[in-house]
Amino acid sequence: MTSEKQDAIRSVLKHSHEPQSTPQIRKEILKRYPVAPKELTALLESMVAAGEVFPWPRKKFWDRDPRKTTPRLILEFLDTSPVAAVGAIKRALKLPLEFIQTALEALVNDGRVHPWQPGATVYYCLFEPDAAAKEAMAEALADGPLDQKELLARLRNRLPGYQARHLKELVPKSGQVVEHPRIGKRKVRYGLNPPAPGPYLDKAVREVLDAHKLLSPCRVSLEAILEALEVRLGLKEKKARVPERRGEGESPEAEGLVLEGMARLQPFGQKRALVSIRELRRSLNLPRGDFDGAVLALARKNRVALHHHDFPAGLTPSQQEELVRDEGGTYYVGIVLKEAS
Amino acid sequence: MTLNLPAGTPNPFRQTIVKDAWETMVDVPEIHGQAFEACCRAFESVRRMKHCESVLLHGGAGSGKTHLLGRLQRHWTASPSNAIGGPEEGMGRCVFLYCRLQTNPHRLWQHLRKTFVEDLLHRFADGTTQLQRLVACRFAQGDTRKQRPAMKWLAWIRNPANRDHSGWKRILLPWLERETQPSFSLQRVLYFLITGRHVLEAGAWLKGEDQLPEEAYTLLGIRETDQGQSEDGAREVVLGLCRLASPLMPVAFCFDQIEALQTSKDDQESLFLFGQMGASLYNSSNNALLISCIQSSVLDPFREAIREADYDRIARNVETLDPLDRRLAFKLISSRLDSSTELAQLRRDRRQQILWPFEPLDLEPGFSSIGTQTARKILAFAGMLFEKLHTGQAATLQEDPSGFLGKEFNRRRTTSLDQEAVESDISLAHGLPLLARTLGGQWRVERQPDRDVDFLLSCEGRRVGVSLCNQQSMRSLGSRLRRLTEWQSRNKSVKLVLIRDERLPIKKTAVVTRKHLQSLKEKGAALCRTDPETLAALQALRSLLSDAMAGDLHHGGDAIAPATVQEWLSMNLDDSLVAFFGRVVGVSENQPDVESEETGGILEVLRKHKVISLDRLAAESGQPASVIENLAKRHPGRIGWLQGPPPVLFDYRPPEILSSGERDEG
Repeated sequence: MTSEKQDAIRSVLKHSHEPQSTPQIRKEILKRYPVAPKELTALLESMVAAGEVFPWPRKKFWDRDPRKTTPRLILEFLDTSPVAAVGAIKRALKLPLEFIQTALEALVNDGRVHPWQPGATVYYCLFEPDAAAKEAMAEALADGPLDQKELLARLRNRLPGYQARHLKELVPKSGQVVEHPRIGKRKVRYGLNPPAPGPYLDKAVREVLDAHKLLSPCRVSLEAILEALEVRLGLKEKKARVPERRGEGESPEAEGLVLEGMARLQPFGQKRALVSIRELRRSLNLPRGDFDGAVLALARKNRVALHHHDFPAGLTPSQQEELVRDEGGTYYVGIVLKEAS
Repeated sequence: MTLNLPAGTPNPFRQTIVKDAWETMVDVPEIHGQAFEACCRAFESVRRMKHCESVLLHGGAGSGKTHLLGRLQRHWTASPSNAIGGPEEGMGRCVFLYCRLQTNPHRLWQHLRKTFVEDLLHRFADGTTQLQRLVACRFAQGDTRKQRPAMKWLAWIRNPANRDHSGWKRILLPWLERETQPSFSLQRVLYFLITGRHVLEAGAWLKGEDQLPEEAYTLLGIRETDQGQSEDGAREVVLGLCRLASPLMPVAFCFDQIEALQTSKDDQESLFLFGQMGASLYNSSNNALLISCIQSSVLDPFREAIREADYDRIARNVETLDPLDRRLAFKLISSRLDSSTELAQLRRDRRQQILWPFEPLDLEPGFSSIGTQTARKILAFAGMLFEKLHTGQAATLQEDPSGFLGKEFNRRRTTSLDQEAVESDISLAHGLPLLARTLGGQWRVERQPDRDVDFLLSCEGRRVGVSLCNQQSMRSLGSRLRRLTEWQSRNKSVKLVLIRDERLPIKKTAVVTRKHLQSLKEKGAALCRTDPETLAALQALRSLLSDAMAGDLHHGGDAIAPATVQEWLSMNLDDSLVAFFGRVVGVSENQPDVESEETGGILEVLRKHKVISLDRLAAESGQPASVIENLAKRHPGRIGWLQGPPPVLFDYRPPEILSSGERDEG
């Protein structure tokens, strides 16, 4: 009779979706066999000793090992509540803290769960917090610039407790977000594109108009003032110098293109990763002389650093052709923006 | 101009290569300051965010990668921590690990395991080891009741009087059990290392279990496995050791010279394997910082060779070590001059001239046409200049690269003669593929076909499986031989060669092991015993080639190309190595065998010319080029072969096969 009762217990626990208390099990078994509470408790204890049944918190029993089941339960829970603190997980799963912490540690070690600690509380999530913040930031800024408060509010939807200091660290690392300087009463804003210069020029425009008002009786037009301004700002002069400097083998245009090309070829989030000269040459498609001249000129001006190839003799002539060679016969393989000193 | 310096004033620029990150060097913090900061930020991120971080550092040969790692080492192992909850002054802030990647790429985890343990047991000037500091730090973190500081724990751990204290068992064993689960052996070995018992045996086990005699296992009370050391096993130990640390005291893995893993510049597999290892470390721990160093010219091939996902993990931050401009170069020179006590007084009298005894203009030729130069070249140039000023003679290189390589090879071989038998496996595993390549590359090294067959050498349909059998324990050796017997019966077309250091005897009492060996021999396997001289030559060859691959072999400031070293080795290869390789691939280099009728004409022409191109040899001997090529491949120790194009053959005759008359001529 005992073994039949044990079979009945096994069957009840096997088909239950959660741990069962002794009265719950008894209620199910009573449908088939009479069993006293004390007898049932004894049966359950013997099954626990045999390793067939596992004790669960709150005096419940189940045929599943809580230590093995906890990680799965945590993953299921985090699937529905993406960011949760240990306390929340404990409340939801109704398991002892020790089980939860051990399972979380294992999950974190396996890289299946990531910790997120904005303050004293550690939260856990299925995604990598930095990557999630970057993604949330890109989504938030897709519709236009936001100030810090607005952006933080959007980020906190994804990562509770997200602080301004995290944002300050994330922005330079992201490489795609531009900090728009404060202007008048408008606070610092963040956007995916550079700020429109217009609002920053209000004071300058007023002064230009004042100058025009002053000079208009002398028949000085607004266009003439604009032209003078261009010269003063070096815009006109720069254009005029181009043909002359090209003749000397240096081309500011080509240099500008090289710098732009370098920025384009930088991996996401990196500012000073080495750009392959070969790749840069291919992407710009400049005449050979212009490209080599611009790269060497930028190096001489200390704008970029060039990395040389140690054993160029081991390269085929076509491979050497793709690199930049200076007067001393050194071949350069990589270019990088100069380290700020 | 000649300086009137006291006689014997050492040249402060003599040292231009940093051997490893544990070396103490004169430092200029401004040089590569940005890369240093990036590494520190990544380090703090591991501690704060409790997840792995990585930095990929790249620069030219001699740009200062190892030097930067040395700076990080000093910063992290000596500096006090300001972080709340972090270790205190004198405790260091991390477990620092320097791993120079001069190894067989198929044994990366085993190499990492060995390096990890060696560095974990690294002893600081105060007599503490990294392991002791780590344990003290973890105990202090867990000591929530009494809140004793880590230094107090460290003092307690180091006190020999506490060795038999019952507290060890109460605290240490449960902690180890929790952290190193499920490895009982690891737990026990760590217990011995921390409590200072059987340190030698426990350390040796932790570095690689194959290398221990039976008595050591008995002493440690652990069971000897018959599986031998494997990459998976080594990985488990590395991750187990990582678990001992905590995010507050992370493990900083510094991988130097990734390019030294390559057997040639086209070798992509080595880079791929490194990528896999790095990504696996990143994924499997939450307290590791991976710093990898590579030459800029290998960066593109590296990116192409490894999986994108692996690259993303290894290179979460990329930093370049730029060549130095004049400002930084002058600071470097000035700091070296300041470090010389002999020059101190003279320099104090000339405070305004920061470069004294140099003038800035003297140093100008040391820079490239764009005004920059690597640190090593700057130092080499300043060294020559100093020599010139000191002795009054123009500093010239005393010897050509060939002479330099000869001396260097001999120096390294002599040093390696002291190498112990436990190192034989490492030398053979890394050195044999390099030797095969040096001998012309006719014998290709194929993928490891089985756990117990370390490589497969193939040439023209002939295949030789090489198994390194340098186990000290007869039980491990016996198990390996048993498995090899099974493997050989499944792979009859492959000739099996077992290599064992002759200093490791097979005991008479090891009946079963001897039986397996006999059975293998009956099935056609050969046992090749290596002597210490051959191993020392192989060690010299591999270290020379690896240093050249990593750009760390330089002559007068100029890095010597791997191709140059390869070529020099081909022409000047040690006789014992040639004979050894001949024995491994089963080629007899005896005179009668080579002097067959078919080949007599070819060898005659070769003897006459010494060095000759394949086409010309074919024309003069009247034999087809393919026949000559086959002959060279069959006799790598007798006929030298340089791949070209065009292929060139050279007459190579070890002294033992020369007639006495010829020897005298030579």
